Amino acid sequence: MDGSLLVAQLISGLTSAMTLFLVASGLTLIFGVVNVFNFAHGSFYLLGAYFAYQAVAVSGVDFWAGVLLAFLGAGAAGMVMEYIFLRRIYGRAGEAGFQILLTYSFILIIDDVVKMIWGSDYKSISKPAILSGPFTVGEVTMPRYDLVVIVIGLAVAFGMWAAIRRTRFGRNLRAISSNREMASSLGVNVPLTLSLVFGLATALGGLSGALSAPVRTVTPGAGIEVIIGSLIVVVIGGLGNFWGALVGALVIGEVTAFGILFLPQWAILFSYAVMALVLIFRPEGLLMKRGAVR
Amino acid sequence: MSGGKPGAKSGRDEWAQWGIALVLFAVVPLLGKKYFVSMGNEILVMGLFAMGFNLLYGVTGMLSFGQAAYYGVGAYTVGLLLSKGVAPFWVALPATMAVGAALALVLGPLCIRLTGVYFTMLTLAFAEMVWGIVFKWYDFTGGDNGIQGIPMPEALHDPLRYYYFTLAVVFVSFWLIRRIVDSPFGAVLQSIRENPERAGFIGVKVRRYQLAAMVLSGVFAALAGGLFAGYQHSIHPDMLHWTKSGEVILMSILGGVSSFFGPLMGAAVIVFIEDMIGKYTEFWEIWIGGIMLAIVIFFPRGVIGTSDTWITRWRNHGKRADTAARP
Amino acid sequence: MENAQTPPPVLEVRRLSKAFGGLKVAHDVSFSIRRGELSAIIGPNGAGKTTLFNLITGKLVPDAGMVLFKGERIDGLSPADIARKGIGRAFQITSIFKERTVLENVLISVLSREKKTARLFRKASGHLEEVREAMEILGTLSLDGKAGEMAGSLPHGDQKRLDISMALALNPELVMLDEPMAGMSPEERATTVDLIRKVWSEKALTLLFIEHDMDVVFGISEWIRVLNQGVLLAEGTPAEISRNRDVITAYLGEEIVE
Repeated sequence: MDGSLLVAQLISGLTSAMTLFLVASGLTLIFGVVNVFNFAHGSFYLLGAYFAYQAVAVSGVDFWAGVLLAFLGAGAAGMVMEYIFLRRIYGRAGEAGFQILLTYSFILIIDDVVKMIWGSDYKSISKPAILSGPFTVGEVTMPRYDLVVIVIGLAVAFGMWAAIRRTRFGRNLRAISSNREMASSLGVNVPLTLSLVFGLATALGGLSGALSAPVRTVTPGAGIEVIIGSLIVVVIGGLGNFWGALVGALVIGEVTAFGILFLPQWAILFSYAVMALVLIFRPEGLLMKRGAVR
Repeated sequence: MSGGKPGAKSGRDEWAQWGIALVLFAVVPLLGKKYFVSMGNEILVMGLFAMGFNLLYGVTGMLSFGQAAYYGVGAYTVGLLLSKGVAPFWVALPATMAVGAALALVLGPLCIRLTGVYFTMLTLAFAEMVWGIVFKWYDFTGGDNGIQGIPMPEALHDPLRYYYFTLAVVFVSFWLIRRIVDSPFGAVLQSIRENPERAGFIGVKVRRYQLAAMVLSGVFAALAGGLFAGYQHSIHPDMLHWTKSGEVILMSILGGVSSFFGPLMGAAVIVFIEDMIGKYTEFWEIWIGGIMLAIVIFFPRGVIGTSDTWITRWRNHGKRADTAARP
Repeated sequence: MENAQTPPPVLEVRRLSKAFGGLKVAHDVSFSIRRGELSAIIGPNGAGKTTLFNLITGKLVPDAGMVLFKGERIDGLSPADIARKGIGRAFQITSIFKERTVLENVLISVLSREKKTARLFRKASGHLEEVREAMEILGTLSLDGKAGEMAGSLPHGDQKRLDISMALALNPELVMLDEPMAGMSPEERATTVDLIRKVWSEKALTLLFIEHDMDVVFGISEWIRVLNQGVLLAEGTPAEISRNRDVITAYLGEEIVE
C-alpha cells in the first residue's frame, strides 16, 4: 500500500468529513439554540441536492448559482417547517417526544414530495468544468472539487465560530440557548431568531447536499443516512459541542475512508464501532469534560 | 394497580375492551372472506408489536426508534431456521424470543448510555446497522431478495388455523403484558417514566430496569416478527427498515399510549389505511406523515386517548374536581 | 460506661468541595452528625444547602473531600446505592409520582426497599404486608385518609408530607429533609413539625433538615449548622448560633428569632 493511496484516502476522508460537518454543525446549532433535535435534518440535505439538480442539470443554471439556490431553498423550507409546525409544540410537556414525531412526519412527507416531483431513480449532476480535474501539489494529487469542498467547509466552520463569538446575532444565540425567557426580557426577538437559526442550519444542510450531488448520486434514501451519520458525529464529538461536530466529522470521515480500503462493504461498521467505544468509555463525547453525563 | 394516568382506562374498562375485541377477532373471519383473515392476521401481529413497543414507550417512557431491528431479527430467526431446516416452527418461535432478548442485551446497554432524544437516535442508528448487516449479507440472509417459500408445519398450513393460532398468542401476550404492568416491576417502570430521579432516590437502579424493559419489548417484537414470517412464508429486509419502527410508534400514539388496547386499535387503523392507500397510489409515506403530523398537533394523547379523556370528563362531571381527568 | 470503640458518627463530611466553573458551591465543608441527632442546616439563599444535600446523597460528585456514612465512604456512589444504605431524602421541590395514588407512591418505596420490585407476576397491590406497612407510614404523617387519591391532586402541604413518607418508607437511619415546611400554612407547619418530631423520636432516627423558617429551626433542632456561600460558617446549639456574630452578619437584614 503506497503512500499516494493513503494520501488519496486521507483527502477523500477529509472531503466527506466536511460535508458531514456542514450537516452536523447545523444539527448542533438547532439543538443548542432552539432546543430541538431536528430528526428531519437529513431531508434538508436531500432538498439541497434536489434543488441543485433541478437548477443545474435541468434548468442549466450555473453550478455555483445552483448551490446558492440550494442553500437558500433548504433554508426557506426549514424556516417554513419551524414557523408553521414546530413552533406549536414548543413548551409542551414531553416535548422531546413530540419533536421526534413531528420531524419524523416531515421526513416522510418530504421523502414522498421529492419522489413525486423528481421520481425515485438516481439523479446526478456533473461538477463544473474547471473543477473536474486533478490538483497537484508536489507528490500529492487530489480532485480539484474536493479541495474546493474542503475549503468551503473550513470557511463555514470559522465563519460560524466568528459569528457566534463576535457578532450581536451570535450573542443573541448564546443568550437564547442559556435562557430563553431572560433573552426575551433583554430585548432579543426570540421567535424571529429561532426561525433564522433554524433556517441557517437547514440551509447549511442543503449546502452540503448540493455540494455532495456531483460526487454521489442523488436518491431519496440519502436523508436517513445523513442523519445517522450526523448523529454518530455529534455523539463522538460531544453533544451540543460545535467543535465537537468538526472533530467527530473528521474522525468519521477518516475512519470510513480507511475502512473502505479494508472492508469495502462493511466500512460503515467502523463508524458504529467508534461510536460504541465512545459510548462505553466517554458517553459525553470526546470534547466534553468527563462526567458531564452520569 | 391500574394505570394511574389521568385519562387512562381503569383496569376493568380495558379488560372489557379486550373481551369485545377477542369476540370480534374470533368471529369475523368466520364470515368467510379470505381478506378478513389476512387483514386480521396482519393487525394482530402489528398489534402485538405495538403492545411490546408500548411497554417501552407508554409504560417506561423510552421512545425507541429501533424496534424494527427486533421485529426483523425475529422474523429472520424463524425464517432462516425453517428454510434451512434447522428447527421446526414450535422450536423456532420460542428461539426467536430468546434471540430478541439477546439482541436487546447487546444493543440496549449502548443506547441507554444516553437519554432523551439521543437515546432515541441511538436506537435508530443501531437498528439501521442491523438492517445494513441483514441487507448486505447475501450469503446468509438472502440480501435484498430476502427468502421466500418458508415451509410451515402441516398443522398451521391453513390460513384460518394460523390466524387462530396468532390470535391465541397475541391475546395471551396481552394478558402477560398486563400482568407485568400491574406488578411491582411494572410500577417501577412507570415511576421511571414519571420521575426517574425520584425513582433513583428510593433505591431503584434505573438503568437496570430500563434495560429490562428493552429486553421485554425486544422479546415481544421478535415474537411478532416470527409470527409474521409464519404468516407470510417469507422474510425481507424491509421488515428491519427504520420506517417499520416508525410505523409501530405511529400505531401506538394513534391508539393512545396509556393502554395496550390503544396500540392494537392503532394497528388496525394503520393496517387498513396502508392497505387502502396502497391500492391507489405508491405515495403512502406522505399520508402516514400527514396523519402523524395531525396527531402530534391536534391529538397529542392519541385519538383513543383523547376520546378517553372526553369520556372520563363526561363521567366525572359532577364528581369532585380533584379526581377529574387532567390534560 | 467505657466504650473500647465508639461507633462512628452516622454521617461524616470531610473537606467537601465542589465548584461549577468558577463558582464554588461547596468549599472545604466538614462536620459530623451523631446518631439520633435532630439538626438543621440554615443559611441565606444560595448558600449551597441543597447542593450539600446533593453531594451527600449522590446526585453530585464532589471535586474533593469525602462523605462517610456509618464509617463507610459513600461519595461517588449513585443515589440508588446510597438510598439502599440507609439515607432517605425528601426534596425542596416536591418530587413524587403525581400520576399514581398516594398509597402507590409509598408502596413503591416499600417494595423497592424490600427488593421485591423484580417481581413480574403478582399484582403490586396484592402484596398485603407491604400495603399494610405503607398505610402505617402514611398514618404517621396523617395521610392515610387520602391513600386512594391521585398524588398530583393533593394540596401542596400534603404532597410535601407524601415526599417525606416516601423517604421514611426506606426505613432509613438518616433522614434528610430539604425545606419540609416550604409553602405550608402556619397550621400545617405546626402539625407537620409535631409529626416530624414524633417520627424522629419513635423511630429513633437521625434527622437533618434544611429550613428557612426560624421558628421551626430554633424550635426543634438540638444543633444548627450555618452555611454561607458554600462555607460552613458555624455550628452549635440554637442558643450559641443566635448569638454568633458571623451568622448575624450573614443574615443581615433578616430576622433571627430566638
